[in-house]
Amino acid sequence: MIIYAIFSLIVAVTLAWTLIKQKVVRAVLGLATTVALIGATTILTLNFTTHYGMHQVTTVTTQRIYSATGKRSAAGVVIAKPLGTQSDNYVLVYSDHAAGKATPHFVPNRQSVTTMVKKRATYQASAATQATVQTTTVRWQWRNATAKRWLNVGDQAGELVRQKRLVKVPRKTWVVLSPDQMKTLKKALQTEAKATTTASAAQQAAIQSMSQEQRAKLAVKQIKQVLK
Amino acid sequence: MTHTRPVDVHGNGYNRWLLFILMLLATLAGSLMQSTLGTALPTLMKKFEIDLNTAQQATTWFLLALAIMVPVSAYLVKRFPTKHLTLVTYCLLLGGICLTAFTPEKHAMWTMFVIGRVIAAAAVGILMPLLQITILNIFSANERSLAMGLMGLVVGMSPAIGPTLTGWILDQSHHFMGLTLAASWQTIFYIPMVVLIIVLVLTPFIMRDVIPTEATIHLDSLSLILSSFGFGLFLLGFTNVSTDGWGDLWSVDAPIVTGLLIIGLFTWRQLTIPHPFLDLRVFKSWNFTITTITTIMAMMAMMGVEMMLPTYLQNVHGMTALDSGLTLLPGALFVGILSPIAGLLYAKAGIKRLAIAAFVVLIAGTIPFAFLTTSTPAIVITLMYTVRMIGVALALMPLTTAAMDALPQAQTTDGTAVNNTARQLASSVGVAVLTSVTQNVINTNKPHHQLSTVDPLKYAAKSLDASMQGFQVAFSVGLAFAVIGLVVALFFKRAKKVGANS
Repeated sequence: MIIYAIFSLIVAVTLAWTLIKQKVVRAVLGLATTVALIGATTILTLNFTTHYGMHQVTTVTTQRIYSATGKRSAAGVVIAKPLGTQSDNYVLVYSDHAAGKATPHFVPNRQSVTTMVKKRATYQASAATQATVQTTTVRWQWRNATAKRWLNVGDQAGELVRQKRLVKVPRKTWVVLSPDQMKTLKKALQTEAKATTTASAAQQAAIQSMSQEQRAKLAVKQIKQVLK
Repeated sequence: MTHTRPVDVHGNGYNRWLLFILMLLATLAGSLMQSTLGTALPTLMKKFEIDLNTAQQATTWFLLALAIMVPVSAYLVKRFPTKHLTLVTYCLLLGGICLTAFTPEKHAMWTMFVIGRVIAAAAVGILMPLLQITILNIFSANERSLAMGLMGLVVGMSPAIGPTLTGWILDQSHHFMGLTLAASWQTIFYIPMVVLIIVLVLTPFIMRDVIPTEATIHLDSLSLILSSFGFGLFLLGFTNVSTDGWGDLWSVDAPIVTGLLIIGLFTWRQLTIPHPFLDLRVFKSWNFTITTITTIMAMMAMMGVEMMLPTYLQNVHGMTALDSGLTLLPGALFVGILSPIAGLLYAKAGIKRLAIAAFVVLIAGTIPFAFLTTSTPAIVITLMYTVRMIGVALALMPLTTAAMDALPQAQTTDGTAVNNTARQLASSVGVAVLTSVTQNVINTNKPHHQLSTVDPLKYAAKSLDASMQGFQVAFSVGLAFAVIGLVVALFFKRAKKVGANS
C-alpha cells in the first residue's frame, strides 16, 4: 500500500501546487500533501533501516550429522578449516547422511556478500552421544497483517539478521581435526586397518566384543596418540 | 503542394532526409558515449585495478570537455562549412572512441582511456548543436517539429537505453546475425564505432554545406584557454581528494584555488570585452539566475545518484550489470514520458509553483537513498529511483524553458549557451565531488588489512560497512542539492513578461 500511497501523493503534490488557483487553498493543500509525501517516504525508509513494522523471529533447528570418514574409523570425525586466525569461524566437513559422502559445509558464498557476512559456523564438544548441528537463524518478519498490508513492497519478510551454526560433537567418541591433522590421520587409519587385520585372534575377539561406543573411544585415543 | 528541390548554400540539390538520418545516426553514436559507462564501472574497476574515484574520471572529464565545448561549438558551426566540420567532427569522435576501446587493460594505461573519452566528448559537444542548427536550416517550420522530435527521442532516450545496453553487453556473449558480441567492455565502444565508420563512408556523398557561414564571427581564444584551465584545475583538485585528502596543498588545495582564480579572471574578461565568449551578462536577469541555480541543483542531485547507484547495486547487492541497468530503466523512461506533461503544467502554473512541486518530489524520492542499507530491497530502489526521476523530469525541461522566457529575445542565444554550459559543468563537478567524497569516506573507514587474515568474514563485513557509509554520504549530498534547489526555487519572482506563460 505504501507504494500506491507514495505515487498517489506525488500526483497530489504536483496538482495541488500547479493547478489550484486560490492562493490560500493552494498553500494549505500544497503543504499538507507535501508533508504527507515526505512522511510516507520516511516511513518506507524506516521500514528498511530500523525495520519499522517488523520484529525478529528466531528459529532453532537441530540435525544429526555423520562422520567425515564414514565407516573407515570407529571414531566420528569432523574436519574444521578455520576462516581466519582468530575468528572462531570454520568451514566444517562432515556428512549429512549415515551413508552419505562428506562435504564441506558453511563455505562463505562470495556471490552474495551481504548475506555471507551475517553467517557464522563453529563447533564445540558436548556430553551428548550423537553429533548434531544446531542452526540458530534470526530473521525479520512482519509484526502483524496490518503492518504487512501497509508496508510490504515486493517481499521483505524473512530478511536474514544473522545465522549461527553450531556443530556439537560427543566429547569422548568424536574428534575435530584440522585439514593438516586429517592428512596425518589418513596414514594412521591405514595403519589401524592393517593392525586390525594383522592383530592376533585374541585381540580381534577383544575388539569384536567391545560395544560400538567403546570402540569409538579407543579409536579417539589412538587418533590423539598419532597426532601427538 | 509541391516542394521545390532543396538546395545547399552553393545552390546544388540534395536529399534532406537522407542527410538528416545520417547526422541522426552519428548523434546517436555520440550520445550513447555519454551514458553507457555507469553500469560498466565495476567491470572497469576490476579490469584496470582502479578504485571507484579513478574509474569515475572517465565520466567527469568527459562531462567537463562537453561543458567547455558548448560555447566553442556555436562558433565552429557558424564559422566553418558544414560538410568539412561534420567530417572533422565524426573523425574526431571515431578517433576518441578508438583510443578508448583499444586501451590495453593495464593500471598504468587508464589515462589513455580517459584521453579517448575527452576527445570523444569534444566531438559530441559539436554534434548536438550542429544537428540542431542543421534542422533549423534545412526544414520548413512545419517539418521541423518532426525532425526535432526525432532528435529529442535519440538524445533523450540514450540515458535510459545506455546503462541497460551496457548491462546487456556485459551480461554474456550474444550471437547476432552471425556476429558474436563478446561480453567485454570493449564491445560497448565497438557498436558506436561500426555505426560511425558507416556514417563516415557515406558522409562525403550525402553531406552538404547547409548552414550559411559567417566570416566575421570571432572566438576569444584567451577565454577558451582560461575556461579550460580554470575548470580543469578545479575538477582536478576535487578528483584528488579521494587519494590525498582535503588538506593536501599541492594536489588538492592549490589546484582548486588556482582554478577558482582563473575562473574569476575568465568571468571578469567576459564582463569587460565587447564580444564575450560566454555572455555572462544574462545573469543580470533575476529569474534567469534563479533558474540556472535550480537547474544546477537538479542536475547535481540527479547525476550523483545516477552515476553511483549501478556501482552500489553491483558491488553490494551482487547484481549483474544488466540487472543494475534494468533497475534504473523505469526511472529513465519516466523522464521521456513526463516531459510533455511537465511542459503543460509549466504553461498553466509558471515555473515557481512547478519547481516547488518538482523539488518536493525529488526530495521525497532521495530520502530513502540517504539511508540506504546493504539489504534495502531492489524493488524499493527501483521505485524510489523512479520517484526521483519524476521530480527531475518535472523540474529540468520547464526550467530550461523558463530560463529562456526570463530573457529578452535578443539574449536567448547567449542564454542558451550559458545555461547549457552551467548544466554540463554542474554534472561534471557534481559527479567528481560526489565520487571523491565517497571514495574518501570509504578509504577512511576501511578496516585494517591485518583483519583479513585474522577474521576474513569480519573484514568483509567492515569493508561493506565502509562502502555503505561512502554511498550514504554521497546520496545525502544528493539530498542536500535537492533541498537547496527547493529553497532557491522559493525566490522566483513572478514573471513580468506576459505571453510566455499564458
